[in-house]
Amino acid sequence: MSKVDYSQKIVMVTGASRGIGALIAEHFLKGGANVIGVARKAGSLSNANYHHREVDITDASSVEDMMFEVRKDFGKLNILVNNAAVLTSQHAMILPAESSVDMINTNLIGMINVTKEAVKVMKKGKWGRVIGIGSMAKSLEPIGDSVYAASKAGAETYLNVLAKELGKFNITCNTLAISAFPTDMLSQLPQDKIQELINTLPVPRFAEAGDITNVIDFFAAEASAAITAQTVYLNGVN
Amino acid sequence: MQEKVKAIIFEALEELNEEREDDNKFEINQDTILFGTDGVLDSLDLVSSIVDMEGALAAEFGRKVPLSDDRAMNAEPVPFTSIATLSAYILGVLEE
Repeated sequence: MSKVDYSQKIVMVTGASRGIGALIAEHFLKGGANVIGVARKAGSLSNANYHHREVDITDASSVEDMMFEVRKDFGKLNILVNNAAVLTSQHAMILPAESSVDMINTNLIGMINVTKEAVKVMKKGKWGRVIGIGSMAKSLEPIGDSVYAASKAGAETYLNVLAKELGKFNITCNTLAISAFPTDMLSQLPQDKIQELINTLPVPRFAEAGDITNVIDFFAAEASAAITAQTVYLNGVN
Repeated sequence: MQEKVKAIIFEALEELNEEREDDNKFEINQDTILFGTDGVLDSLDLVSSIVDMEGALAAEFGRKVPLSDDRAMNAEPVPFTSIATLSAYILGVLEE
């Protein structure tokens, strides 16, 4: 069992069909939460408290419709984890234009679409936690990740501004910046380059599931009401 | 429909009032000036009440009634001048 009781919480996780999103969704399910997983594809989690929504988050209208249904079905939304992201790593001069658009649309615009509608529901309940899944790429600015890093920087800044607008409503907005975690997304990058980069970190290893859920629990905690507009990096990145 | 719209507007404003200290509460009636020189709402109050009203209107009438789009912002009279103008604007949108 998860150490934290989420049995009274409605949690939304974007990009929940695999990787870090599925990991976070499972974590909240173990804590007893009702989890709404959002992804373009069908969900893979099997749990009575898991509710999958197939939505393209880059389409603002579809996101509005989804949130209308969430409000109707659940009456509230307590925690949002913005995890959905895509990555194409390539030197900027030869990065296909459509890859840039795809990354900005999903990692930034999609995140904005979901957050904008989610916080309206949270505001009604006068409590909320918005957690962005950031990346060490924003800080380390590795070669090949120009647009990806820019999209993550944009998402982080967006949440920091939102933190100011929403503090009055007991809604916090923070970012967990993950280092290297073995997922399909990471597997498309050259493994020797990843290992080289990990070796430079203060904690020179891949991030583990517990590293991620530990910070998620911290941001989601009742006691973290005064923690907002913050970014926590894993593995000593800063 | 008119009474439902009025109830939604009043509920959103009462919610704002609940968050205020006693000496900062405002009277809610058809003539209450909402936004502008003599308005009772600051910009954050306005955003907050718009969000609440849009959500309640969608739930009640099953359709979107945008109160912060270009049309609302450019309408004459300005919808957020008073409760009466806001009510009239919303009813106009709903009756289309």
